[in-house]
Amino acid sequence: MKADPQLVQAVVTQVLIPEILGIIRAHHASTGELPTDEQVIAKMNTDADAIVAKGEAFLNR
Amino acid sequence: MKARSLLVSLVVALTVVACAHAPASVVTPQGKAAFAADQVLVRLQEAQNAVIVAATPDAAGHVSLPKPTADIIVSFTVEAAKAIKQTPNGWLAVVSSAWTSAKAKIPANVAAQAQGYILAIDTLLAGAGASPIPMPESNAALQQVIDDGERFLTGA
Repeated sequence: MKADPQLVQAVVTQVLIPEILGIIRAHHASTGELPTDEQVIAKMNTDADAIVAKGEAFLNR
Repeated sequence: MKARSLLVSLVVALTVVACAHAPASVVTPQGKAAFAADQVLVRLQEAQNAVIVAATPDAAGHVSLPKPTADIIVSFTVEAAKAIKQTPNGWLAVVSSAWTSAKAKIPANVAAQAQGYILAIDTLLAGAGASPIPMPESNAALQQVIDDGERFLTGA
């Protein structure tokens, strides 16, 4: 089955590109600096903790 | 509808950006592993949020995913986050195995409702083992990518 070109274009422009830009922006901190090793490791720990906290809150409700 | 739209965005995003190279400023093996692991955590968090939204009753009290099924998936995300934090450079086998076990617990009568979320996490884990997408290696190159993308979006 061939994908509808308009649907593909909509997905690319509305979802894909903003998503990729968001990821790139996340690396482009407000200072304009690229992230350091320490910042990357700290963010990983923060994100993991947030998943655990929100998940456990949902499981306990 | 909100849950479905979240899900479509999630699957597409996971397919393309499940894994990216660390920027040039990240130099240690620990930093590179943490960067790659965090890409997965960010997507895992999106999957978790989508499942929680789907299992939260709307104004009429309806849910698009039953709480017991959501609990199975959310429990997996919690355990996966713990495993990734503990071993950012060697979590994939453990988490993939945990996901296989979790999927097997989802009742057959809700398989259709859970199918999108299952696909999203399947895609995330497959992407985590795939070749990374190169990141621009300087601030100027990053800015160029952002500018090009915004020009494309606005048609300028």
